[in-house]
Amino acid sequence: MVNLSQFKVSPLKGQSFGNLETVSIKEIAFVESCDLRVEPNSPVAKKVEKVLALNLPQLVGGSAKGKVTALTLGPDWWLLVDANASLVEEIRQSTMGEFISLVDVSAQRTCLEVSGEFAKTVLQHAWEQDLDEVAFGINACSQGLMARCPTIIHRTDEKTYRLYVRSSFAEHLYKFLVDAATEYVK
Amino acid sequence: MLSINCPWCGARDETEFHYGSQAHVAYPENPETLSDEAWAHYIFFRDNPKGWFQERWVHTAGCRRWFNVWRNTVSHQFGPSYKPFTPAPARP
Amino acid sequence: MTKVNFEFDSKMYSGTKGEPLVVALLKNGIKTVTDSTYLSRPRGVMALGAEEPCALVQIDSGSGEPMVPATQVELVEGLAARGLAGIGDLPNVSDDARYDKANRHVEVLIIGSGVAGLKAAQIAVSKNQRVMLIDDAPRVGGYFVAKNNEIDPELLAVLDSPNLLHLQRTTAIGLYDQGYVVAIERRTDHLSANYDPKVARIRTWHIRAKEIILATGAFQRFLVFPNNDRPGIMLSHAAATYIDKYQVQIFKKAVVVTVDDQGYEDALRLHKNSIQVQAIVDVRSNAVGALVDEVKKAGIEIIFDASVTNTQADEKGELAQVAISKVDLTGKVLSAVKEISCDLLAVSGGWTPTVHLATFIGVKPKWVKEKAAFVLQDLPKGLSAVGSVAGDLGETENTPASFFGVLPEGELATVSFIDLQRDATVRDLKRATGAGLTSIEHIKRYTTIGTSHDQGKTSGTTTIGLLSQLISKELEEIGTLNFRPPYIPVLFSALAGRDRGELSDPIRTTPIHAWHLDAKAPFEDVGQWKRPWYFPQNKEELHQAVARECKAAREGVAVMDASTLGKIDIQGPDAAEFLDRIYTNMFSTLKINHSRYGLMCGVDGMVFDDGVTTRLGENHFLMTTTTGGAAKVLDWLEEWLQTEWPELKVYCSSVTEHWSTVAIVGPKSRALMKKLAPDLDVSNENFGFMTNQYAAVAQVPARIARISFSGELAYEINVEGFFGLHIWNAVMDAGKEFGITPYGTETMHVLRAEKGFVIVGQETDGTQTPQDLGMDWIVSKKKEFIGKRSFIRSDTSRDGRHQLVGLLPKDKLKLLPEGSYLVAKDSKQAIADSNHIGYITSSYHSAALSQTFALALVADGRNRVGQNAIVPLFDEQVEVVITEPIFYDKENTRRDG
Repeated sequence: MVNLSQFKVSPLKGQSFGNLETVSIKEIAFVESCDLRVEPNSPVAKKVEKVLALNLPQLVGGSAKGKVTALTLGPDWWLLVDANASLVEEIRQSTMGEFISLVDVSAQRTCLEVSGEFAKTVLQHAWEQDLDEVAFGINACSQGLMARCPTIIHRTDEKTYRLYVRSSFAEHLYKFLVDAATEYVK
Repeated sequence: MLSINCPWCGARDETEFHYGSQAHVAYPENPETLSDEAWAHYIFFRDNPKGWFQERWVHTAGCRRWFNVWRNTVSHQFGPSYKPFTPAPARP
Repeated sequence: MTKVNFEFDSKMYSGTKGEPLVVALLKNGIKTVTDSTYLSRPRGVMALGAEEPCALVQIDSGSGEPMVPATQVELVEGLAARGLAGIGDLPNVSDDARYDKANRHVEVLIIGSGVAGLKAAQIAVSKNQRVMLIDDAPRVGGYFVAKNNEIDPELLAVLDSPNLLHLQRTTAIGLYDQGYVVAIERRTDHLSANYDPKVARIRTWHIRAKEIILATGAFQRFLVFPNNDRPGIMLSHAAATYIDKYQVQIFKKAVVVTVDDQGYEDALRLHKNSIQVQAIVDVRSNAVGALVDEVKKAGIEIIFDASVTNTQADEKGELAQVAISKVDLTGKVLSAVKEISCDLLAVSGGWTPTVHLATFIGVKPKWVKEKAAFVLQDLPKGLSAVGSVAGDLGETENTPASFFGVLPEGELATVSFIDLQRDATVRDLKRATGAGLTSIEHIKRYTTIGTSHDQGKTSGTTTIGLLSQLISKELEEIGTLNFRPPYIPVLFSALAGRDRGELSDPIRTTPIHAWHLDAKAPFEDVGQWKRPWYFPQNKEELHQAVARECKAAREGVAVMDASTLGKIDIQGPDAAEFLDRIYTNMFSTLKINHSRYGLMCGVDGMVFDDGVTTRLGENHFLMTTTTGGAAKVLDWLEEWLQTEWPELKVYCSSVTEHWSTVAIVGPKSRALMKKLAPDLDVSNENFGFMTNQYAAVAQVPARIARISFSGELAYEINVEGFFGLHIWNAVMDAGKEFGITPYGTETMHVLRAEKGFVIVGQETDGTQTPQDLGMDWIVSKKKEFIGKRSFIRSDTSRDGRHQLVGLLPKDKLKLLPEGSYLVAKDSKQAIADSNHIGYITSSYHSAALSQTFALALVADGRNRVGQNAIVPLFDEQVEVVITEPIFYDKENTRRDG
């Protein structure tokens, strides 16, 4: 059995910058993810929830953690993060013949983790949406344009954010954020 | 930089959207029965009022949903946004 | 109180760190800062802040900057500046300082940190919400502090609130819809003359506020009379502040001319600092109260019903004497009173509230006669005003007069300045009204009044007031000028932030990009993507490389990175029906694991995008689009699904970057494919054209499609993006024995053009139907689809439309420029046509044909095949023959290898 990992190259080749004391920006490479489209609250959706051991959040911008992390991108659209192939196959099997879409999008995006004291400040140089606590608490997510790159942001902790950026745009976003971090990193 | 209210995502900057022109212009049921003039009217003619206007926007950078909204073409004020195939709110 | 050295007009001086440059200049005895823009009259400082019309400098130290008011420059060690006569020099070195943008959302934004702004902040922070307070001066306090007062510490304490973001040296330059404000923060110029490469010199704030409170204050306006522009003539509050607060001590004798009680206040400040105030010239008939009593007690003469009506200069052109006359409020000079020698004339022409930001979103200020000011009214929801900008100009004993100056005749009118930056005078204004103009907007453009860097801050209301006299119309009828953002001149660097150079727009790259960089391939921009253009070897030029690459693709095997194509996953029980409606040809009949080229049109019947779509399952398709059309097509699909056909059960997902595609092309590609996927039966019987096979390629799972954009035998290897580079390397390695040749977009263009395959966006511009392109074969007669009705519109079905043809120049080496027009060869016909008959869409050298060729859209083109035409270029007429739009392998024999 060939170990395919040896042949994989990530969009940012695992680059990282900075430190946790001020701000750290690093690629989390090869995150497995799956685009889920299913009618919310339907019997099919319930089957999916059963396999994933979570409730798919209704409102856009919500997230839930079970066997995967589900990010709500639209009324009938979730990104399932850390969804490996066998889990997706399990969902497929349990919803066979139903109206549902499960599309592997692992290489469609790469993940940048931005963390540290100045994580939010640095992101506010590139992101036009409201990142303050009152608007974007822990576990919140949102999709939009960061430095003109299609990006999904997920706040995983008080000072930690995961950015899922379209792979072809990754180099640009990384350079942009590293440049923005220049004034803050020690 | 307009702020537009997506019914699913909330208020976002206009750069996240694409404009979709006049709302409630349905694709004709039987195009083959329409005269050239009527068909051209569907393709090329849209209202252009000075004041409140019902128009469409799509949240391209976000949830990718289309929705309708009242906007005042003079003051750029927005009225309520509403989802496709739901009753339109009253003119503001 | 640090002493610093600075340079002005090439001479060295010293001053105090942090003081305004104008103050340092005055203290060094420099009253004339520069000459006026057009008339070269000596000018000095007039005002206190950003409204300064005359004392402009060019900064030469640091990053350099033209057109900066010297009132806004804080002294630092090493500052170098020179007086600027209105027209600045753009520095001829790149501005390498750091600039950036920051975004903030707040509940309350307060613009202006004078007392009114601080009080508003105090209320706002107490409500446990996010508050932002910005102000353009170095320190808080505005007018109150300029009068040398100290702010109540309890009020200052608000600045320490944790829910307050407080920025000084930050100017709001624009106010837009839905509470959007852009502000420029100057962060380092006051610290050092040189920029810090790690710290943003200017930060542009993009603020979205639920509520905006304007506390922007007011500034004075000057009066119009002959020779009202000399160095030594200043707005009275500015003069008093320079002397009383900053301790400028070069002036000895002053006269104050005023329309309001402010003049008296400022006269007393001058007097307190040992300036001999020889008279207050008040245009009003009388004034009473405590201030007036104090002035009288100080022994200062008051001349009522009078104004200054002329001034004299010394040998340097600076103020030496003023002439005072009796005037009436319409500006008529009645009788001379006297002349007074002085080196300072302090002018209090009235207060103008700083309303600009509100006017940017259409608020129309109203003239309030009792205040002699335009004040804000009818503010929209979410916008409010406090302090002097709201018309709260302080309690005065006597009301101000609506007096703006005198309107002399003849020579004197040519030196009565209204706009000091434009050297625009009373004569210019009279010429405008004499020509019949009455609208302030017309007069602005006719005279240029209000169009300079200061945007008429100190002259706007004066202009309206004088106009009111000239055309006998009330000020409230005339109204104000439309102000426009930016409120002050702004550097392009500041607006760009870090979106410049490499970061000015995203550059999109494929997983194989690193290899292309190593190969030193030049790149072509396709939208935001960088695609290798060609792969030169041994210093080849473009056409040499392309000839070699084309030869390899037609005779050996070549490889291309096709990863940029848009890819959309489409699935659901109605997916096939949906595609039948979107494409002009049938897709519901497509077999599983088969691929088909599809064309899509807009409702107007014009070609919109194309691509190969593959059926992966009964209800599952993978659509490809052009590289540049991916986002547009996905929007289009969603538009129909969401707004017209919500009953269709179809889901679309973008997978453009999830898949990387490597195409191997040429007669030897089968052998190479076999080598890469040993377990795959690559025979034509098993693996036919436009079908797909799944196999391990270089040990990695792949879907291989036999699709050809060149007409040659070809295989497109699709793998998960992470494996893209691995596959490319495997192809290059395994392909060595076959002479594998990487090729770029230029060769790709040539190969497909030789076969007459169109590229949407190259042969089309949104005005071509499939029939125009000779693609009737792809238009289904069996089904309804988007655009079908438009094919029978009279304009779409008429004769004479532009049709796709080929062109062969008579001179086989002549490469015709794309976009060139064609005319009929017969010159009589060309004249009769009175127009071109078409234009060239694609043009290349062809290695296979050993000559150049082109594709073109020509009126009635298919009926012109065989005819000659002329392509008129700048310096020659090139003869071409019109052909079918296919030049190579017309019978498609090479496709299966």
